[in-house]
Parts: sequence; C-alpha cells; structure tokens
Amino acid sequence: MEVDYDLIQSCIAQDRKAQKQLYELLLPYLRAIANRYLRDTSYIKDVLQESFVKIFRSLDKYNFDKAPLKQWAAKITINSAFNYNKRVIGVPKEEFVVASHETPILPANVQNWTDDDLLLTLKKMPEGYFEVFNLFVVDGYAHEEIAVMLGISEALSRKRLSRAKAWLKKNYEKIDLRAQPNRSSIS
Amino acid sequence: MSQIEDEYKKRFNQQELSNGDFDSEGLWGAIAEDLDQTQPKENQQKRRFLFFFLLLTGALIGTYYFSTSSQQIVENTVGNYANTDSNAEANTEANAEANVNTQKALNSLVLSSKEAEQQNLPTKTAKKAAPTAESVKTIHATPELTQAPLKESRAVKPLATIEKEVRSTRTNEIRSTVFPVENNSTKKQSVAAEKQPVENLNPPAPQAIDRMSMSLSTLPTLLSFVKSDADLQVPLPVLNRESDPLKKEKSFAWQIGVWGGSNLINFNYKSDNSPDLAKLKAQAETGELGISLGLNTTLSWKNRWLFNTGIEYHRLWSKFETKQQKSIQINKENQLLKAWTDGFTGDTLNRQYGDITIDGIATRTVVHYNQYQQFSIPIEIGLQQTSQQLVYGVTLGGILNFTTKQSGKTLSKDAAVIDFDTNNAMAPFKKFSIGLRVNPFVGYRISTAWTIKVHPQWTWQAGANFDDTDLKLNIHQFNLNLGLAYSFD
Repeated sequence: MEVDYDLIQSCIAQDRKAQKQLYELLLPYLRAIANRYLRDTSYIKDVLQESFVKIFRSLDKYNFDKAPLKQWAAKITINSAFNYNKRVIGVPKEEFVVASHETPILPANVQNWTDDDLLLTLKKMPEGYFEVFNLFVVDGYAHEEIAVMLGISEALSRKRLSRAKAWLKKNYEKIDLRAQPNRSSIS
Repeated sequence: MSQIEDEYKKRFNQQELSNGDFDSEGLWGAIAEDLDQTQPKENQQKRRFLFFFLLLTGALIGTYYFSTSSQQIVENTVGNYANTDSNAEANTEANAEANVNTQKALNSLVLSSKEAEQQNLPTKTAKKAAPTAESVKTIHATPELTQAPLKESRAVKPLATIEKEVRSTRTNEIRSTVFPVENNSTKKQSVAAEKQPVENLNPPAPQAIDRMSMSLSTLPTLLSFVKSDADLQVPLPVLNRESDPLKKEKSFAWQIGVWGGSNLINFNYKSDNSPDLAKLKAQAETGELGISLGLNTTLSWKNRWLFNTGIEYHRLWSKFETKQQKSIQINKENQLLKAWTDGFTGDTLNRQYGDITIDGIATRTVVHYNQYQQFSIPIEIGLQQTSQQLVYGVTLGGILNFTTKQSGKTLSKDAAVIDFDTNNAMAPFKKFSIGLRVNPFVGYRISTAWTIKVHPQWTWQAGANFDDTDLKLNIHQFNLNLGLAYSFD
C-alpha cells in the first residue's frame, strides 16, 4: 500500500475526496487490526469510526520519517480497540476460564486451524496477556513500545509475554488432546 | 518461537480483510459526518484563546476610554474658553465692538462647554483649540481685552457672568486658562474654532506676551484696578493638578504590570480503590522550584475594587524519586564448595572450589526531574486599601490553564516506573483546565505612577483523568512574585 505525500497533504487540507481515498486504502488493514484486538467484534464499526476520525484530525502531526503511515494508523486503531475493550468488558481481576462448551473442536495440527479458530483461542487469553502477545508476536512491537502503549513497565511487558506463551502452550495442549478423538470421530 | 506463535504471525501480521459485505460506504458516511460536525479540540482551544484575547483587548480599550474621556471634556471646555478669549482680543481693534464681541465670544464658551458635555463631543476640535495639556494650567489676559472693560464698566459684567455660567455648567473641571495671544499683525488668520458665533475670530498665535497666571475668579476684581498691561503681569501660583479641588475625581483607573517569581507545585492524589497507589505516587513526585512570569492589567474602580487579568507563563519542575526492588541471581566465582578432612587428625585433605549462584534482591533508585510548561489567563476580582504610599489587598478568581508541554516519569497503576509526555494518558496535567486563584499583594508607590509589588499566590487546578484507575489528582501551586506596575492617570 503506497500513500504519497500529496495525498496526505490534501487530507490535512480537509479535502473530502482525498480523505475517502486514504480511508479506502487503510480500511482493509485497519479492519483486520480492529478485528484482532477487539474482544467483542460487534463494536468494530465504532472502533474504526473513532480511529479514522482521530487519524484525519491528527494527520498534521504525522511524521513521514518516523514510521510508515500504515503503522502509525494501526497504532491509533489498536489504542481505540483497547479503550473499547476497557469500556465494554472492563478490566477483569482474574484470568479468563475457558468454558468447555466454548472450546472449539480443532484439528490436531495448528496449521489446519482456520483464522477464526486461531483468533478465538487468542481472545480467550487473560486480559493483559492478550494485548502483549498480539503486539509483540503478531505485530512485532518492542517491549519498550508496548510499555508506552499500555502504560506499563517494560519488565511487566516481558513477564506478561512469557505468561501468555505459557498459557497458550498449556491450552494448546489441552485443545490438541481434546481434538484427537473428535477428529477421529469425524473421520 | 513455537509452532503456534509462528502460525499467528504468519496469518495475522499485515493481514488485510477484504471489504466483502462490510458496509464501508456507511462507515465512511459516519466518519465524514463526524469530521464535518465536530471541530478538532485544538481548534476549539484556539478559539477559546482567541475569545479571551479579544475579551482582554476589549477590557483594555474600555479601560483606556474610561480613563481618558473625562480628561478630554476638561480640555475641551478650557480650550474653547481660551480660544474665545483670544478671539475677543482680536476684535478689540474696534473698541466700540469689543465688549459686545467679547460677550458673544465668552457666551459661546458656555455654549461650547455645554455642547461638549451634552453631545459628548469632545476631542478633536477641543484638542485643536487647546494646544497642549500644560497650557490648561494658566490664564492669560490680553491688554486689549482688559482695556475694554476699563473703558466701559459694564464690560466687567460679561466676564463675571461667564465665570458663573461656566462654573455652573462644568467648571468644576476647568482650570481657567487664557492662552498667549498674537500681535495685531498676525491677526487675520483663518478661524479655527468652527462653532464660534463671533465673526472675525482669529486663532491664537504661538508668539505671545508674557504669561500671567491667575484665577478666573479674581479676574473681574483685578480688572477694576489695572490701568496698563504691566499691571496684569502678576504671577499667581500654578495650580497643582493633584490638589486641585475643581478637578473631578476619576472613578476608574488603569494599571499595567509585569512580574516574575518562583513557584512550587504539590501533587495530591486520592483514590478510593487504590489508596496505597495514591500514597505511593504522591510520595514519589515532589515539587521543585520553578519560574513564573506574567503581564497583567488591572482596572480599579474608586481606587478600591479591582478587576485583574493578564497572561502568565509557568515553568514547573518536580522531582520523581522511587526505589524499586527486584529479585536477581548473583554469580560468585571460586567459592569453596566442598572440603574433605581427615577423620583422625582433623586436617583438611582436599577442597573443591567452583562458581555458585545465589538469590539476591537488587534495589534500584530512579531519580528524574519532570518538567511542565503552562500558559495561564487569570480572571480575578479583588479589593485594595491604600495607606499613604502603601497599597495592599487581595484578588481572587478563576484561572484558565493551557498545558503545552509535560514530560517525565511516573508510576503506572502497577506501580511500575513509566515515561510520560504531553499526549500520554499518565501525564498529570490536563491540556486545558480551569483553576482557582487567590492572590494577596502588598505594594509600595515609588512615584505617582510606579508601584512595586510583592504578591504570593496560591493556585489550585484539577489534574488529568486517569482512565484505568479511580485516581484523582489535585495540583496546588504556590508562587512568590515580585512585580512592577505602572498606573495611568
């Protein structure tokens, strides 16, 4: 996705056509981001609306040299999604417990999982682990950046990541074990 | 990285979702509406700033108007009188008409002063007629003018009448004045005073006979004794403006000032759910001395009631200091691990050395100086008291704070040390806030216009809203300022 300087300047000048063009360029990527970071995806339109308004309003502060526009816009969307998660779900005190009826019946090999299965598993992670895992493993943010984004220390970010990985490993094994008989029954 | 992590990264990194059945047009419509309807916060802040700037400018202009308009009326009245008088002198070429013209001219003075009062028309014509403010202080009578009444005793009457009339209209504000008059050779000049009913009026020329100061009230009496020009050369003391009983006391006065000083901030956190965190944060950040500078303008009414506003700059500092403990493992090299001894003799037969790891606790002290920058607009009312050269009082009111910069370290909700900047949610100051201000002051008048002032200040403002905690922050700012003020009379 290429976003040229002129397009950004037109957007800053409140040119609606240019803004729509940029919106169309960014939408598929930001939709994926919002879909992944939102615990409840029914708010995806709200999050995207809020994010795009923020993007257009603060476009004059965007620095070309610091980061690609896509990454800068993604950060805004991620923050909006976090805010929605807090507003809608709140901050749970205890870890999420995976209810048995919600456990997906999954193939033994993770490569055969659908994207939705993977996301569903990811979203069952306890609050805190989920964000750090997503930011670090999937989007490649450094702990330093994660600390700033989440308002936590770098050490805590590292700790949460290792716990997230441990949680995933533990739950993946559970899912895997459960998946075997189902798979055989299907076959 | 495990297989599952790899899979997550491969599938979702840079993932894009096709629009498909997603209502992208509907979403764009909502976004465009948002962009149309609501203005960015920054623009709102700019508009607010502009509003207060205009308010301030309006207040200054209003103050200036009130402080100058009554003075202009005085000048206008006196100027007309002076002009008329000198015009009367010009007409004394024809002695027979002198008295009539003088009376007409002086009558016109009464008319002019009344007009000036009624129509509030004061300024430009009046200023033309009264060349300088200083000239308002003296009276000059011309030989021709004074001779005329000598020839006809009834000539004294108009002057006295005029004096009474002038006094009855607005002469409380008049410093009776007659300007230097010209020689006969320069008399035929254009008429400057447009509204004079007298024909052949000539404006006064700068070259003049010696000045003679006198009170208008003494003029008729004096005129009955004088026989020549020389008799009129009686100097009278120039009236002191400050003590002139005829001078009208102005209700409004305007003062501008500049000040600078030192400030100290105090953060006061409160939390119902996390009192320990509130205590920890309050202990971690303590105020350091900063600087404040300001320009202010004060409008006083009856030298007692005050309205004060201005613009201020505050550079605030605080010291963030916290100790953090962390479990660590310490490696120790070449430590004695085992020793073999002879059971009979007790001698050590052999020793084994090696590296060991022991658990320990590392304490780290983090010290950082946080800095904040604010611009403020105070809007205060107050009361003052004057005792000889001493002025003291207090103003209180609201203050609009614009925080333009903040950076440093603070504690997160997990009590971890984190950095913050202007846009960070953990930054303690709001970008815009309204606070309260109490501003006692003591001043010393070093001259009629200049006053030096010492004013301690206390300012309160609410801190930022911290989304993920119930922390509430009250910020107290203490100032000690020294200022210099100039009063416009």
